[in-house]
Amino acid sequence: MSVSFDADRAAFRAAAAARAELLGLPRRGDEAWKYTPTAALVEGGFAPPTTDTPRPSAPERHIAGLVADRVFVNGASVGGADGPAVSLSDAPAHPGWATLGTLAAFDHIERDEGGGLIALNAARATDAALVSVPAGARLETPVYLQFHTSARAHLQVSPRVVVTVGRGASLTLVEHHTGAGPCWNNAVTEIVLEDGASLKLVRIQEQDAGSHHTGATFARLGRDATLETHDFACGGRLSRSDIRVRLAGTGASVNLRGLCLADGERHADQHTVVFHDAHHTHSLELYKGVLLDDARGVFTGRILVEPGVRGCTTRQENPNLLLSEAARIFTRPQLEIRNNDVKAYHGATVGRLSPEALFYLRSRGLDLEHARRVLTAAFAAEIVDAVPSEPVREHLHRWLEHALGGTGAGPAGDAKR
Amino acid sequence: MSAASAPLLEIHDLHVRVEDKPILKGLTLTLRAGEMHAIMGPNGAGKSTLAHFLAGREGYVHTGGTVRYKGEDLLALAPEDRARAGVFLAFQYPVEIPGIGNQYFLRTALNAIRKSRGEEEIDAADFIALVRKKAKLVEIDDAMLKRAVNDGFSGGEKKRNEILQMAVLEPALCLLDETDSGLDIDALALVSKGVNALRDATRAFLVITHYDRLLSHLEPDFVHVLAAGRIVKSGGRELAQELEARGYGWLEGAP
Repeated sequence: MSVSFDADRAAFRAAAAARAELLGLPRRGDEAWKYTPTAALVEGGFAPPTTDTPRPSAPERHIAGLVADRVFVNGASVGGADGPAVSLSDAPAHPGWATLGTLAAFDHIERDEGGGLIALNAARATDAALVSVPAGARLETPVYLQFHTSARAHLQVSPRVVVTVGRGASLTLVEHHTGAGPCWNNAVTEIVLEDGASLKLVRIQEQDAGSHHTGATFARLGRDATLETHDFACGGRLSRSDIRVRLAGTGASVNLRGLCLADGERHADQHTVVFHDAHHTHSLELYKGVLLDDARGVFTGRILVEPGVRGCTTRQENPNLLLSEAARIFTRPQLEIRNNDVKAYHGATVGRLSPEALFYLRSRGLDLEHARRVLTAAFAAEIVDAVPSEPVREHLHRWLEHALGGTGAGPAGDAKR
Repeated sequence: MSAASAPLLEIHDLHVRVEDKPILKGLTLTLRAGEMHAIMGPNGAGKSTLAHFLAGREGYVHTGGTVRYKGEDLLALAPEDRARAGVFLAFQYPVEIPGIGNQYFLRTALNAIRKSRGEEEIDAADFIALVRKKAKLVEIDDAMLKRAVNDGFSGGEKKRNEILQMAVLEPALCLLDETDSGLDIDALALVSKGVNALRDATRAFLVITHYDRLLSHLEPDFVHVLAAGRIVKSGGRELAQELEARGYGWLEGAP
C-alpha cells in the first residue's frame, strides 16, 4: 500500500500542480471573483515555505479555554494534544492515508469550480489535519485546529483539513486561522458527512491586517446529515471564504451563519453555494456584515435546486451595517431554482444604525460613540451567540469589543458572566 | 411643600418647530422638586414633542424661549449629558435592541452616568442586588433581565422595563410620555406603583397622558392642558376629571 500511496501522492501532487498552472490564480474577469482585488495575491511574490522557514512554536491569539488538538505553524504541525493530525508525508503509516480517496471525491468540484487556488493548495499542502469520527461516535468537546503563519518574507501557506464524520456520528470542529506579517494563507477544508452524521464547524479567520487569506470549504452531506457552519471574517487585508455545500442525500440540511467585520482598507468576501441535489433538503442562511472606514465587503449566496427535486426549503438573509460614508458592501443572492416544489425566501439589506435606537441609548447616558459601539456589537452578537462553544463565544466577544474600540456589548445573557 | 424650593425645570415661552410646522408656540411651565405635573391635551397639541425635545431628540428646531434645568441652559446639552444631569424620558414606544442583555444595558447606562460624575463603576454583586430590588417593584423577574432589551416584550413589559430603568438610574426629572398607553388595568397599577415608589422631595415628574385613569393612581399635584402648542389651563387633580367628562372643546384656545 505504501508503494501505491507514494505513487498516488506523487501523481496527485503532479496533477494538482499542472491544474494550478493551467487554471492560474482567479482573475477579476471571473464572475465569482468580480469584486475581489486579487492583484495583491498575483503580484505579491508569495512563495511556499522551505526547510529553512522558521517555525516559532507559540502562536498568538489562542482561544483561551480550548485545548488545541493540533497546531500548525507555517504549514507544519508543531504539536498539540495527541490528535487526529496526519502529515501527508507520513501517511502510509497512518490509516488517514485514505484521505487521498477523499481528495479524489472532491476532484470534480476542484476541477469545475475551485479554480487554481484549490489546485495550488493540493500541490503545496504538506501537513494536513485529518479528523475522522467513526460511525455512532459523539465527540463532546470541540476539536480545535489552529493554523498560524508568521512571516517576515512573503510566505504562502496551504492549510488542509479533511473531515469525515461516520454514520450517525457528531462533531464540533473549530478551525482557527491566525497570521502575522506579509503572508497568504490559502486554506482548503473538505468535509464528508455520512448518513445521519452531524457537524458544527466554526471557522475563524483572525489574521493581522497586513496578511491575506483565501479559504475554501467543501462539504458533501449524506441522507439526513446536518451541517452547521459559523464563518467569521475577523481580520486580514484581503480575506475570502468560500463555502460549498452539496446536499446529496434525502433529508440533509445545512445552516450557514457568518459574520464579517472589516475596517480600514480591508476587503472581506464571503461566498456560499448550496446544491440541493436530493429531495427534502433544507438550507438556512444568515450572514451579517459590518463595514467601517473604507472597507469593502462582498456576500454571495448561491442556491441551486435541480429540476425534479421535491420538497426543498431554503431561506437566506444578509443584513449589513455600514458605519461610514465610504464603506461598501456588495450583496448578491443568487437563487437558481429549476422547479416549483420549493419554498424559498431571501432578503438582503444594507443599512445604518437606527437613529431611534441611538437616541434611546443616549437618553440613558451613553455618549454617541459608546451608543454606536453597543448597537454594532449587538448587531454582530446574534451571530457570535449562536456559536456552539462557550470559550469560542467568549473569544469572539473579546475580539468584537477590541475591534469596535472599547466597551462593546455583552452577550444577551449577560447575567451569567 | 414646594413653594419654597428652587425650580428644577423652568420652561419659558418655548417655541419649537418640526420641519416647517410650529408645534410648541409659547409654552411656559415651572416644575419644582417634589412635584408631579400632568399634561393632558388633544392629539397633535405638542405633548410628545415637548417630552422628546426636553430629552434632546434630534429633528426639532428651537425657535424661541428658554429651558433652564437646575438653573442651567438645558438646551445646550447633548442628550447623554441631560441624562447624566438627571433627566429621564420614559418612552411611549421603547426601542427594541436585540443582542444586548437587559441587565447588561442597565449596568452600562448606570456606569456611564456614574463615570460622568467621577464615581467608580458599580461593583458587579452590588449591581445585581440593586437591580433585583428595583425589578421586584415592577415584577420583572430574572428571566426578563436576561432577555435582550425590549426584544419581543409585550406592551406592558416594555413600559415596566422603562420604569425599571428609571428606578435604577434615579433621575431628578422624570418625563413620562404616555406611559399608560396600551396597558391593561393590572399593568397600569404595576407601572403606577413603580412610579409612586420613586416620588420624593428631590424629584419632579412630568406625566403626559390622555387619560384620567393613570392620574387616579398617581394623584398629581398639578394638571395642565396643552392645546395648540401652549398651556391653556392649569388646575389640580379635579381638572383631569373634568376633562375626562367634558373633553377639550370648552377650553379657550383649544382647537
